[in-house]
Amino acid sequence: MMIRWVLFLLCLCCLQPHRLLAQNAGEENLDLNLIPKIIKTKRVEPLPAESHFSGKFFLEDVVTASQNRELLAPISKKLPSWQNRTSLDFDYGWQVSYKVRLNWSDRLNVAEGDTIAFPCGENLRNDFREGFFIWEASPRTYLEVGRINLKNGIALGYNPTDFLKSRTTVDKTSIDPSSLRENRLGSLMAMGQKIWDKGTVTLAFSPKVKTEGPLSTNQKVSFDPLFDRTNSDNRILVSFRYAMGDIDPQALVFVDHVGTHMGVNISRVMTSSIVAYAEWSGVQESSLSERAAVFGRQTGSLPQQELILPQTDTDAHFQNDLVLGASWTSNFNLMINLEYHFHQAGFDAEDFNRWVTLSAANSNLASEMWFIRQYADDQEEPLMQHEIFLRFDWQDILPSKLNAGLVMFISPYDGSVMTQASAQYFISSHWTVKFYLAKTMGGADTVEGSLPWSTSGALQIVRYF
Amino acid sequence: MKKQAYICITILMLLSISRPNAFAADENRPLAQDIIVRSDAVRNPDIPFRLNLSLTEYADGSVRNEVILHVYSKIDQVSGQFKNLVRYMDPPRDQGKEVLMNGTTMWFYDPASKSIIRISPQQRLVGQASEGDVLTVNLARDYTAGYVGQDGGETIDDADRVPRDCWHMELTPKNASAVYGRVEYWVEKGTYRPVKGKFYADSGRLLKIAYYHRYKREIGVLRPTEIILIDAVNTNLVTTINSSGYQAMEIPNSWYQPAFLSHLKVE
Repeated sequence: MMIRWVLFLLCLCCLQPHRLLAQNAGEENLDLNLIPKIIKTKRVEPLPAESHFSGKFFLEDVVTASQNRELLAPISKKLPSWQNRTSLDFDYGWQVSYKVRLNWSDRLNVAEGDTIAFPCGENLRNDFREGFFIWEASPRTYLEVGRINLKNGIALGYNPTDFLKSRTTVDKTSIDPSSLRENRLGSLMAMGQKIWDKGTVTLAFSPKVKTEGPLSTNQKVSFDPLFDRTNSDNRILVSFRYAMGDIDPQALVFVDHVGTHMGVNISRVMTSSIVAYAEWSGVQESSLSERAAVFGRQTGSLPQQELILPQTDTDAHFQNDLVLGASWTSNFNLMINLEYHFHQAGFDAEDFNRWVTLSAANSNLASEMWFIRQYADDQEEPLMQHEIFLRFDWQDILPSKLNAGLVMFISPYDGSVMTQASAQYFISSHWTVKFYLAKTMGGADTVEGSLPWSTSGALQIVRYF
Repeated sequence: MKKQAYICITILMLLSISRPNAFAADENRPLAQDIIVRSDAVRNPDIPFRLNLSLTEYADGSVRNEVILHVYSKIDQVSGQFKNLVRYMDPPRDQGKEVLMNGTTMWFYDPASKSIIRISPQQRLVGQASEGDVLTVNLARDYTAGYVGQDGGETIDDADRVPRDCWHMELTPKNASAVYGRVEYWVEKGTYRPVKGKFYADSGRLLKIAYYHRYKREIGVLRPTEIILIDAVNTNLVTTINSSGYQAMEIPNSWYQPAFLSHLKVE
């Protein structure tokens, strides 16, 4: 009897499983109560027609304060403890006709700080980033001439195939490479590009128009377009991208005074939340310190004679640069990038220890050491052969209001870290405020701990028009 | 007798536990998958087109954020799924940013840094009104449809509180392109107009509730021009997605190459 009842109840349950999936219609209508009344009464206005003159224009103020540390290798110049920069930023395009477009990108800065004399060239500085026209000669065949910011590479922390990146960054409010790229100078060039259904080929020629200038100084004329940084060499870049299903490889060949550089970018979706990528370049060239020495002598920044600490190897070798990385996206708006950077021409542990130890005892050696580090920074190359990069980007912590980020450069040699936390709050569609807090961690003889600043904070306020 | 009862129960259980019947077709009960196919045709033109989207986010009944997008969509001849190119027009801080989606391949372009970054398909889910809600998607390509309940019919109110006699469908993913783990979907009988959708995560958690309304004739068919999207996790958050400016246009496949992102022009 008992078994029959159990079977009967089982039958009843089994006959109704899909009813359990859904609420009844009455309950379903309760969801309508979640719709605010304002939506039911709102009028839908037609969107304004798009203008042929489009872009972005904003006013920005950034105040930065830094705390510096006692250095093992002393630095000769005074380090800034505070700076304020106010900038008008303009990035616009004008569609002159169906086939012709003009682009202009520029930033005018007013700066003051405890290491900026008044008046001097740095008080008022103009960054002419881009100014070029595009002519669509035939469908998806483009010819571009002018100052163009041509970027390649798919990694976030370091781009070995971004061959035109050297000496282009003019403002370093943030240590995040993604932010640094937002104010970099283009190069004068003529570029042709053809886009097919499955791929793209690009050919660019950037001519030498000025002799190479030294590392940045305070003597620059404010409105100098700095072609001595971006166009001091004849350069040719050819790239080819072909979509092969999930993989999207790009091959590049770049020719400059150093030689012929080869490069490859590749990326692939591994799972719905993971993208893996790799970026490689290789060229026959000297070590970073040897190139810095040659550059220093050519530009008059270093004495003509050999370095006080002679180079152990001045010959050119085939040097590889490699980035292996992956990004992971969570279901709560957090994206994490982890990258390994290999820069064969950089310092190994022995080189670094030798320079740091000897620099501590000799101020001339210390100057050379800082010059090489400054050169690597200017070239946007890592100082060391190995580096780990980690980036957290958490969007919509407060939906449409608050984003946060964390960037870390970790030295695998000694565990020292250069890190930056940031928070960005959108006050309205026109006002944004962002706060950065950066810190270098490690002992005075470590890769990141030997940097002159220990803590740095910046507050950025932006008004978009 | 006991054996027969067990057999009978087993058959009953198998019949009821098995997936909702997707194959019994008659005039009042078409094939479940056909309903989704026809419903997709109501939502999306089958020819290349562009449209403007205006997204308004409400928090606790007040407008919190507004976004305007231009979307260029066309069906990929191989996969049958839509390829999408999305350009941000407003707010000013996002002006010119673009997202490209071609199958599971997604790229993000930021004009400020000139960077083209490859992003994961999971990115379609992030945000209150995510890319997955904004992009044109053929549900029938990514999901297998079945009826919910024995008759599959249910009368529910639409967003304007007008009762609609609907087929109540359940959609389960059939490939990696599917954004959601499960979808409940109400399609009006006869017109094949979507009325309501409930979108679940892989974990079974209800993420979003969508109401489709304000039907207007766009590219030859009455289509919903407003979607009301309720955040089921935080029900104080509601987003409306208004579409306008539908325009059939020639869109070459080369537009869906990452290099084209910097060349999309005002037309």
